[in-house]
Amino acid sequence: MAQRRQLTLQPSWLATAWVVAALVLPISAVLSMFWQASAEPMPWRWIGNIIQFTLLQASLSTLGSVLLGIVIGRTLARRSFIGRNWLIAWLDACFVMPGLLIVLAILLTWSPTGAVGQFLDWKFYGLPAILLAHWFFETPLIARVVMQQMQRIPEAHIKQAQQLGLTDWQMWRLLDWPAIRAAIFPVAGLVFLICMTSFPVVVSLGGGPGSTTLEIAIYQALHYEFDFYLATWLAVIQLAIGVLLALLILRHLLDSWGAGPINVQRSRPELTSTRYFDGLVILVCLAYWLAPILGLLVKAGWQPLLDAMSSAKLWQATGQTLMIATASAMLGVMLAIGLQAGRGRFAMFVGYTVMLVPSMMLATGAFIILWRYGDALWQRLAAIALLNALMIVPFAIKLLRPAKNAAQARYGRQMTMLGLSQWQRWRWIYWPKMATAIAGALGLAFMLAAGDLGAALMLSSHDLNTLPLRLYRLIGARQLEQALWVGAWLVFIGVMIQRLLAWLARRYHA
Amino acid sequence: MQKQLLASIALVAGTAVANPLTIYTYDSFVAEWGPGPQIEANFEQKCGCDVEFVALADGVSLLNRLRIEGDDTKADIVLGIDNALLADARKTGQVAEHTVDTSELVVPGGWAHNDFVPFDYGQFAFVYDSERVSNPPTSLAELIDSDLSVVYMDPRTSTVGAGLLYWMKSVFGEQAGDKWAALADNTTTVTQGWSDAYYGIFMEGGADAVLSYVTSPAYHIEYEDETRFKAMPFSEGHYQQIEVAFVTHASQQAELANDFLQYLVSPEAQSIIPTTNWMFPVHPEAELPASFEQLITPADILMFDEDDVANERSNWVREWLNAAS
Repeated sequence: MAQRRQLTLQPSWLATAWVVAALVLPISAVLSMFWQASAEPMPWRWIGNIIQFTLLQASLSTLGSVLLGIVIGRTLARRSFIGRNWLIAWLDACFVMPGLLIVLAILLTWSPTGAVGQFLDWKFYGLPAILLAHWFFETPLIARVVMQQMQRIPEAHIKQAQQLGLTDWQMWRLLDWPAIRAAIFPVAGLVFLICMTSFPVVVSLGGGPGSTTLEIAIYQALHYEFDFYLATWLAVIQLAIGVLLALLILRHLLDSWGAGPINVQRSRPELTSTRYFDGLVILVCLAYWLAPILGLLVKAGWQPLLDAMSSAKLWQATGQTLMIATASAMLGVMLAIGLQAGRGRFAMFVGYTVMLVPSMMLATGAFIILWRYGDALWQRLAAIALLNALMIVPFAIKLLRPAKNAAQARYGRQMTMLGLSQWQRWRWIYWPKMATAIAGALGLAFMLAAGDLGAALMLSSHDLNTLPLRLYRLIGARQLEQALWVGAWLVFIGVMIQRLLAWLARRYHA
Repeated sequence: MQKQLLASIALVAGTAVANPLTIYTYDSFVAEWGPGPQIEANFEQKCGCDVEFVALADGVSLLNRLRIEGDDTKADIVLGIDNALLADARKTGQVAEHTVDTSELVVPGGWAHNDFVPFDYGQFAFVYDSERVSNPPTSLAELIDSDLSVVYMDPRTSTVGAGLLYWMKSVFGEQAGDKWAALADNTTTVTQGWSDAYYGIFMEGGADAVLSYVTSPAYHIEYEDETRFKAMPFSEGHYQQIEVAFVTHASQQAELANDFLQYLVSPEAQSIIPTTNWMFPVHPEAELPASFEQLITPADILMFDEDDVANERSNWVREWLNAAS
């Protein structure tokens, strides 16, 4: 089985070199600044506070989403009711929705001027607001995993348990928890990581230096104070925490992120004893996840729509977003394909590495490079596209791997016997077999890049204007109705692109 | 023949695009309701030249842009930094001396710089709705100890927020840190910009008091015929902001730039300022609207020396970060 080694440029080498360069260049820019910078006294007490707050909010966000997700996931898995599939689809959508839209929903519902918040006498901005937003989009992820795992419990076991007359609590102890347990910890780890580095939520809902995370503090140090030294310190701390966390949980992370449809049509035989409890859970779901959006639609009039659509800035933002997202998605997916072109193990390693480096550290590096070597608009756009492409890589790998493995299993032997090079394998075997998966990965990558706020805000200048930036500015100015329409427009574009890609893939196969 | 035609086209085009007078300023100055459009139209008529405003987010962005562009900057004038940023502005190396006659101008506390031209001023104040708050606090200390919900701006992003930083420091000195911590208890949120806090939160009923200027109530009187919004007069006095403009060293048309600044401080242009920028004019002959007579008069005007601000500013920001978190 001697594989012929060719001294040509292999896609896997190219992709690896690219990713490594894209990581190393910004990081070395940050470090070079770190050694040069004059040492001003650090606000250590504040840094201590934000580390504490970063971990606290991430822990509470994770804990809340896990508890809520288990309760909701169990209920949805075992109850059938009218609109169940719609609710499940809606919860799925909440997880992939751009963060700023969730901020908007939370603001319009819970803020002191919101539909519910105006009747509450509480301190909204800060921890409460952040938790409300994080639970809003992390709970659905947990609920999905819970449902997925519960589907795997053989129906015979459930029937048997019911014949034995087990109570709900006993069912949980004996059937559900053992099925969920193995999957829940890695997902909780992923949720923790996402909440720890969550950018749009904290930057819009934090409200004051007390409720700031490391991610936001890095951005503020650079943008508010031009303070490279402080920013670098914070980025290094962030990196250290990320590495520590990664060592603990990352081994499971990429495997746990479940994509693709799950069979949720079938619900298990119902227990009557939990009927009222389940009814309550479904009501809470509707109130928490659906009502804000319905409220938005009622509140958003046509005038804000006209204002939003007639603004020249919207069209400028749409153009720049399309450019960034298209370039990022294509590059990100190409890199993911390239990394997997070889034996595959190395791709996973690089995937881990990308997830491990805080995106704000890379954005800081890009900021420094631009600041030194020129900051024309196109350079900023290109830098944002590069950063987003990198962010996409681990997700794209995850989405493409099953299809690639299937093709590999089916044709691996023939490919080896024919001695095909990496290029030839892709051209003749993988590409035709994986077109649908690639279209799906491109669609998700487009959505991720189009919704990015962090990199765009970090590298923002007066002439840089993407849809998330526009949304962020409108939310800052509390023009919430107009913001809503801009958000809807962003989602619409994303969905249309996904549809288009799916159509192209179908046509290719036909 | 063709060459001649091309040459004459180039000549015509060349005169048509004779460098406009380029002015970097903050965006609310050139908003349609701001002073920019009127002042631009009036001056263009007088000089027969073209004035072009380039709007940036705020005073700090103006200086950052200038710092990056250096001698390549297109700006002839930078308009809209305040008295806290003078030393930072000089550090860009772009502040040229002006030839504007400022002898008639009146600014509380006086003005003795020959590189910056003041064009308006105002004192910071907390504004409240008198129909919601019946017994407003009479001092900064009282406000901090009260249970009124307060919204203010981040001193790193907003010149108004920075104003509160200096105000707190000039009133409480060494105790400023403790007072920031006490204020944090009744702070609704800290916003990036003034309009987010004023319109987005305070006017929507999200907070009892908002950091703004003593002149803010005049806006409500003038445009909404509404007298319920008032500024709280504080016994410790009020910190004062002075907005200034300067001609850049890079400017190729310094004379025209100086003419513009001379016009900016003339009674005609100064009469535009109160009802557009909502600040006090620096020329004593400028017309004031009736609403300005209803404004509070600060018990005392507080201002730091510009070098103190430049040297201590980042320490004070750190103090705020440490205490308010």
